[in-house]
Amino acid sequence: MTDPNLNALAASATLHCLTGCALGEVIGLLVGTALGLGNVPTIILAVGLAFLFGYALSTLPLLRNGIAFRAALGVVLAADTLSIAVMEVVDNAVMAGIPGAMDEGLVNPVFWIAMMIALTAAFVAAYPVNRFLLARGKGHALTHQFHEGHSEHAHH
Amino acid sequence: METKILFAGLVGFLLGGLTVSVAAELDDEPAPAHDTSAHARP
Repeated sequence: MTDPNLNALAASATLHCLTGCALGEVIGLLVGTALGLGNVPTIILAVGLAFLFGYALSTLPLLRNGIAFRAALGVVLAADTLSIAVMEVVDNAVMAGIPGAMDEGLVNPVFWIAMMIALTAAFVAAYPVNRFLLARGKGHALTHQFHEGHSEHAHH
Repeated sequence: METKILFAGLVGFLLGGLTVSVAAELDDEPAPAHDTSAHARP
């Protein structure tokens, strides 16, 4: 019953989601760590930016396809929220759980290694979620119907 | 927007950060060798 196309689509959707999440997450953690904010404000900043970038990365292609902003945002909120939420929970839990990852600033190699481990864990956690949603015509499947005939479809 | 390019940039950024931080750490390590406090002791 395994559909290789579904697996590939789920991996692609997860990567797409991860890229937006990771951009926001990395910027949030960099700013929070550089400003010497505590762990909780830093994580709040990182999660907020991760959602912002995650939604933006999915919304922009729809806007370029001529979808109205409200409609595009509605589709993206429904499609990406669960995936981003799972990624953020796992990502921040791993970052907070690795000793020293958020304590010694950006010149600490542990911060960067922890970030890679956290993002990999976030991908692994969000993949089954995206696969589950796609299999039921939800998640990224919602945005895919708006990509039909879109020349940059390959980016998914 | 090409997701793969953005993702590649992100990976490069993380690797760059790791490289710079490791370099900074290695640069700090020889510091104790220059410690002259031992010579100050009578």
